[in-house]
Amino acid sequence: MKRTIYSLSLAFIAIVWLVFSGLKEASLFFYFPIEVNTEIKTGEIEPQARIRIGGFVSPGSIETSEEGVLFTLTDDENGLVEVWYTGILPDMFAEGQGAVVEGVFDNDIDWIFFADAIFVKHGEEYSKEHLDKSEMKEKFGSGIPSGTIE
Amino acid sequence: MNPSLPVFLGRFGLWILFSFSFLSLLFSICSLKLNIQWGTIAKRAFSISFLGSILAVFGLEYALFNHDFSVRYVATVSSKSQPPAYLFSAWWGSLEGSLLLWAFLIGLFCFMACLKGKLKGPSLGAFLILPSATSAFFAGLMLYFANPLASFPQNNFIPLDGIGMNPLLQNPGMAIHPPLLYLGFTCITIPASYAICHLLTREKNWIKLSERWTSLAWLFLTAGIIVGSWWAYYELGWGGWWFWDPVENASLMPWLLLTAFAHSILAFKARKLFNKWNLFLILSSYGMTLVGTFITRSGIITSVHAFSESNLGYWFLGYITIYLITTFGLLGWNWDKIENKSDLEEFSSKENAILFNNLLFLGMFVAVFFGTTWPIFSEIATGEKVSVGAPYFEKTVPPILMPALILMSIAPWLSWKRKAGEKLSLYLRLGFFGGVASLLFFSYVRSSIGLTFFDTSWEHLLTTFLFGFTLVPICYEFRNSKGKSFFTSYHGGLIVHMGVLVLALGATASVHHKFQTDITLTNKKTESLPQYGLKIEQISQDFNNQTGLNYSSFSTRVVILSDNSQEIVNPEKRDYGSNWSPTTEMGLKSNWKRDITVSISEIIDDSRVVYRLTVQPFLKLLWVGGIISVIGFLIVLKGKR
Repeated sequence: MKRTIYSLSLAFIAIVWLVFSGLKEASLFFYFPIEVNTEIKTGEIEPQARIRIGGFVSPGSIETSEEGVLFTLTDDENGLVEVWYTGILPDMFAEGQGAVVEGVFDNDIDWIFFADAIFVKHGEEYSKEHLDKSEMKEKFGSGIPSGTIE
Repeated sequence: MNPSLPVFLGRFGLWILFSFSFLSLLFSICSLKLNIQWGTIAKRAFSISFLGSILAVFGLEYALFNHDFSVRYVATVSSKSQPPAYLFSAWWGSLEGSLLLWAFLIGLFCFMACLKGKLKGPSLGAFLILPSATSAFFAGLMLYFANPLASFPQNNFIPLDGIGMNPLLQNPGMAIHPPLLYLGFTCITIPASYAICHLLTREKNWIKLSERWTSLAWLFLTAGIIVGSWWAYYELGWGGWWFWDPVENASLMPWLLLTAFAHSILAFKARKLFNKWNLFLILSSYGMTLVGTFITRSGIITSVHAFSESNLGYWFLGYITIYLITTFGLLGWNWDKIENKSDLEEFSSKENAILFNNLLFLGMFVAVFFGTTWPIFSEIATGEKVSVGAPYFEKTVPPILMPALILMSIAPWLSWKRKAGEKLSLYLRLGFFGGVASLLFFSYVRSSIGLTFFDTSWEHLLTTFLFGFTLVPICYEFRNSKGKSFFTSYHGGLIVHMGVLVLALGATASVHHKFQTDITLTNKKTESLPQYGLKIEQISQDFNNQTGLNYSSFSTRVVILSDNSQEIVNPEKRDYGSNWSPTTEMGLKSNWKRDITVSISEIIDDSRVVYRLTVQPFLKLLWVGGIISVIGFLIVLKGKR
């Protein structure tokens, strides 16, 4: 009985440690474009090296070239962040579509966000209504990796 | 304009569902303190509420099949050109209909459980509390926030055609994936109701009564999760099958707790152990079905503020809180009065193994739960939004899963209460040789498809070893029980274990040895990857704008040469018009050794096309393992106990 209890508690502690050390390490801070504009660019908060930004792709902003794609992420409060991405775009990526980008800022190049992964909304909803732009704001955050996540 | 008769009846049915399930709740509570006759009355009220939900379902399906676009829900999830099968499945196409499906299934299962009629008097009343409350709650949500049969808010507005279903979801897998999950979720209600019944009336047979329902729930949930994964692989077209998306995790969390429960009740059946723990597990498992639905439907993961914009979220949160306080309050209140035995004299006994199994499954649950909900806790505590991605889960879940797999391949040979006997040492020896053989075999196969013989990932090495380590003793066990029936839940369980191992083998291989690259091809140009013994060539390109299809497409014909055979595949990009994003259809060459997929990722100009090529070894074993598990569980369900 004692042996059981000891080994169970030991295993339990190991699991708890695993989970919380993992969380501490793997969680990325998440910002809306408006927060990037008002807090990060003004130096009010010093972001981690790697962050996620979520918004929707502003209409008319996608510029594709041989090397990659440049677009602007925006939100309901008119925050704007320019994003540069070189990988393959997911199918559902489009103007007005909600998207989350993951990557780094390079301060030298005029606050362009270098994304290496793009997530668009998971298609678990059937109806067009749920892809409404205003609703996107509350629903992104989960998505299909564009494939370059690893 | 007046609604058609079936739609009118359907709306009426929703009111019947709401009022009678509410009455049933009141009566069942009455039966605890007052006359036990109230239990029977509650049962009648509940049956009437079930009839109400049938009416509502009939009204909705009638509206869907007759394209009655005056019903708002019908106009958002279906269109005139939709094939009949998808008209039917549009029932659960969006939130409103899913709530109706949920309420209908609870009614159905509870009705079936009551029909057997083993419960009487106060036990019957206590049993009906949870299903009645849940039905009333869902019916209330439908009536006040998400009515599947409501017309448009504008008077007399009837669109000419509906928006229709997202083309990505017009797929057989996606038609059956959500209802399978809902079947699983609602099935969990029955054992949870028996648990509440035990708490309130000390019903002695609660575990015996809930056993088959637990198996059924496990079967539905497992099949639902695997079909969902299969859909993601074939339909999203990029070679992934699990994304650690909150939506996926929401189905995984109750599954993990239910799996722990399904094992833990074995110890109760054999030795009357862990009664309290069983109560705790099944009540949490049911709670997680609610929590999972809440976090995926309310948008709370993204931001706490987004959640406060929808009323539905508050109601869900309120219901979950009431549920948790009531049930765990009851559990705490009765803690000293509940019969419980937990003597564990022998360390290497089966009951101990089950205890460790429970710990590991609970551990995986904790890992997935905190990974999924961390953004919420973090935002509430610090105001900072964080996001937890796949790397976290890939780091924390395998170290807990692997010990569980090891335990799984040993535990069936242990004995209750006693030290493991001769059988274990014989099976360990047999298993060891089997394990070494399968390790060598799979390493050889791996090296034949361009991967290293000595594998670098310990998870994959372990699963290839465990494959033989489990298979050989299982075969021996089956041979030994010759003459006796194989058709028992014990043998079914062994088959499930085998299926899980096959699945784990495929999963670890495809996670650790996935190879992905982008290739640009023009017509008649061949690209070869000598390391993988692989050549691909594009033969032709084709723009297709046929009438009769609801999409236009760009497709190419590509030859994949590998493993001494060639196959022509047709990767495709489909455009479904301005309402929907385009979709990618992959070209797949698959054998049991590996899946090679080619997807069009970019069309640069008339001649050049960029492909994403993905090679994943042993991917097919995922689906094979899934099917084996499901077959095993059918035997568990139907076989002798």
